[in-house]
Parts: sequence; structure tokens; C-alpha cells
Amino acid sequence: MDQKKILIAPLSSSFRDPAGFVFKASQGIQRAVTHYGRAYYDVLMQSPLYEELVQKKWLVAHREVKNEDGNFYKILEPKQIPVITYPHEWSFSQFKDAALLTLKIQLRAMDLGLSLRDATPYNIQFVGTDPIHIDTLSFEKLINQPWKAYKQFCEMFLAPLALMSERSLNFNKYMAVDLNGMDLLLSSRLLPCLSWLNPIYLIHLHLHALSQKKYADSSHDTKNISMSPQRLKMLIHGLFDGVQSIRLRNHKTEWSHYYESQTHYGEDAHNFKADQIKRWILDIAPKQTLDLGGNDGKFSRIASELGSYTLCVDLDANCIERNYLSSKTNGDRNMLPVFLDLSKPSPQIGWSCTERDSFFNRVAPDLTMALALIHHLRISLSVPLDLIALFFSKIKGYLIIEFVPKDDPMVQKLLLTREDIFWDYSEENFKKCFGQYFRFVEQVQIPGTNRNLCLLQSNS
Amino acid sequence: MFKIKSATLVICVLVFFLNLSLCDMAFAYIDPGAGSALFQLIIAGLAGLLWIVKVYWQKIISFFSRKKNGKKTPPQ
Repeated sequence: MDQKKILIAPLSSSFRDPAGFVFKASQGIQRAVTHYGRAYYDVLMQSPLYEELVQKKWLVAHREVKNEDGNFYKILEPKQIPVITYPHEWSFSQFKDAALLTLKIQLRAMDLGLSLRDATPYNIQFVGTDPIHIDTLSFEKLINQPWKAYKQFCEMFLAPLALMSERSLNFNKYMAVDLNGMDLLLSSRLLPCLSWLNPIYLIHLHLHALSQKKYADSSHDTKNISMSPQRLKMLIHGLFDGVQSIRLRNHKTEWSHYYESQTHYGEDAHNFKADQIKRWILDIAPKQTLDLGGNDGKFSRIASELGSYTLCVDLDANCIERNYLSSKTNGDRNMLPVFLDLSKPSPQIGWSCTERDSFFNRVAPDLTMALALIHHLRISLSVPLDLIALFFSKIKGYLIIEFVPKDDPMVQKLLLTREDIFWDYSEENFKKCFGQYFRFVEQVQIPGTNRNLCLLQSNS
Repeated sequence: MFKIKSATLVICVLVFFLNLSLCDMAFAYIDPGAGSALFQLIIAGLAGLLWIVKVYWQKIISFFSRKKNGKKTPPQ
């Protein structure tokens, strides 16, 4: 019924739940609650749970705004999330914290006679290093039945976490391939044999997968299965303890201790670079900073500490993990580490290729930083300089970019194993290519090196 | 300790397969989540039992550690 009356366009990701949808209003993102969704909204708002979760910063706060056309039960204006990230862009600990938050909310909801009716990581977002649940319509009255979201939780949280812990730190990148999470049978086969000895994996992944296989072709009406809330609560407690016990194995990568092990940079050069970046950031005062190839956030932190909401992007999951943990420990609320490979950044995916937006459609930085990155893009990824400039031109605002010339030891290292076919890679051509889209505001040479640090401003 | 853990796991697996065989009843419709819903019934008791054992084990540990710490600290 409501669908016929809809005059406002739901976001392309918001179509599965008939209880409501989110849309873009002039004031920001808002949520419409349909008349079908009334029961779900009221059950939360009439319970003390909403106030408690908002106070704990576990659930996004909202206010009811004027419902002008009256087609909906309510229109809500939630507190805005600065940047939306997806589970395939999180580090292990971000993923784990999101899973634990979901279970903590479920346990508290059950205490108050409610239950989550879904458990997807897409309902969790990060504001800096704090995870928060963003779906106000995810709650329903607790009934004497199994948890509807159990399968979803295991496929979308537990299986990726197990595979990240046991197999590869960046296994969650496959979440971008299947938005419904990791198939349990596949996950069970991918996990090592010893994982059968771990009770959390044994019960909730291996045996759960066997159970799914057994009942896949059978005709069971599970709508009326009865299960007491007490038994369910113990199951969720067990799941919570299990998730909490999942640890990261020691994954060391090429980039994970880059700054500690660097030999190509003197301390003076390093400090000069940091001071120069700080001066520029103070002048620009960016609201949002995007640090591409930001490693463990050493230079991103300059921006975040100066009050800019900073996304530190890197392809090394270990660096993102370290950045997340250290920012969390230091209480850096402006730092959002993002796991992303610039050679294949998150594309538009899902239904009709529009359900989940591409990474670069979700960010709007005033300042982008690309420090000691350009030689990797040109030589390691073989992207010509004019295409690199074109890529950066799509991100508006200011750009701080470090040009690393061919005679630099790090470029020479890259060239050791390959023929130098990168004839366009020169400072002159760099200025020519970037000059098409940017104005060179200032450039300084980093002492003791031939590297140039440049501040550019987008022409458009 | 390892023997106890292994024995618990063996019992878990046996109980699971026993339950799986007992749950083979005829119902009406194919639901992608059917296996997961029925599975929760099967494991709820088991998971609950493990959780209760853990909670009481922690209580015992904390009781003795309190007692131990209490002995070390001279009364004021």
C-alpha cells in the first residue's frame, strides 16, 4: 500500500525491509517509517531500550520531524554518520567490535523483552573508532522462538571473523563478492581441520553448516518452532563469549612496520614533512581529510588531531588494524581507518549494481593526501601519469602530493626487478599532467632527498 | 585439562548427531533458514550448558583468587 504513495526516493540500498527506508533530504539522510513498520518502531520507542542504547552510544539517536505528506507513520532524522563504510573495508578488530556490539544489543534487548530481527554488519557503522547500530527499525517483540537473525549473524559476522583469524587477515574482502556473507559450508571447508576443536567454530560454523545441508532440501515449517528466551539467551551468551575469544594470529606484512624500519628517510626529513603538512592543514582547515596510502596513520593523525574527520586508507590490512587499535586506545575520535586497495577500490555492487555505493561516491574530502604513493601507482600498478592525474581530479578540494623522483632509492628498489618502461615518469610530466586539473599552490623540497611535497588546489 | 576439553568436544559432536537424527520430522515448506532455526533448538541446551559451566568455573576461580589475595593482604 505504502509503495504506491511514495513520493520520496529511497536510497538504492534501502529496499528490503517494508517497515521503512532511508532517503536523502535537504537536511541529510532521513528515515521513513511505513505504516507496516509502526509496530517495530513503537515497540522500541515505548521501551526504555531506545534511551539506554542511545545513551551508551550503541544506537544512533534520532528525532521525529514533520511528516508533511502523511504517507508514512513517521519521518525520522537520525544523527548523521560522517562517512559510510562497508564490512569489506574494515580491519579484523573493527569487524570483531561490530559483531560484539550486535550481540551486546541483542542481549540487552532480550533483557527488556525485545530482539533484533536482523544481524547484518551493514547495520553497523563507525564514527571514528566507535561502532554504532544505525537501523532504528531492527527491533521486534521477543517471542518464544529461535533467533531469526542467527543464520545471518553466523554468515555475516562469525564466518568472516573466523576466516580472517585462521586463514587471512584480509579475508573479509570477499564480503564484497557476496553481500549475504560467507556461505557456512564453504567457510567450514576453508577453515583448518584444527578449528573443529574450537567450540565456537565447531558449534556455530561446522555443525551449523552440516545442519543447513541436512535441512536444505527438506520441507520444514519453522515459523512455529518454540524456544524459551532463557535458552536463547544462553545461546547468545555463548556466541558472545566465543566471538570475544577469537584472536588475530601474528600477521606481519611488508608495510606493517614501514616507518619503524625505514632507512630511506632521515629523522629531519620526516619532521620537516610532518611540520609542512601541519602548516598546510592549519591553513586549509579541512572538515574531511582522505589520506590515500596512509599506512598506519602516522601522517593522517596530524589531520585528525587538528579536528579534521580523517579517513586513513591503505591496502595493508595489518596497518589498518594497527591504526584502528592505536586510535581507539588514544581516543582519537576523528580517525576512521579504511582497508582499501586503490588498484581495485570498492565498486558499486549488489542489486542492479547500485545497492552498495562505490567508495569514492561515499566520501567528500576537502583535502586529499597522497604521500609517497605516486611511484607505487605508476611503477607497481603501471598506471600512466595522465591517468593518475585524472583519477585525483575527480576528488575535489585540496591535494597534498609527494612526488618521488626516479633517482629516489625507493623507486630504484621498485625498478630492480623490472625493465624501466616508465618514460613518462618525470617531475616535468607530473606537473604537466596535474596542471591540467590543479593549481600548484606551493611546493617544497624535502631536505636530504629529491622528493617534492606539493600543495595543489582543484580547478573545479 | 586437554583431555577434559577433548572429551567435552567429543560429547558435543555425539549429542549433535544424536539430536540431528531425532529431529528428522516432516514439516511443510522449504525455508532457507530452516536448518539454522532447528539447529538452534539442538544446540541451545548444549551451548547453555557450556556457558553455565564457564560462569560457575569463573566464580570458583574468582572465589579462590579472592581468598588467596585476602591472605596476602594484612588486615587493616
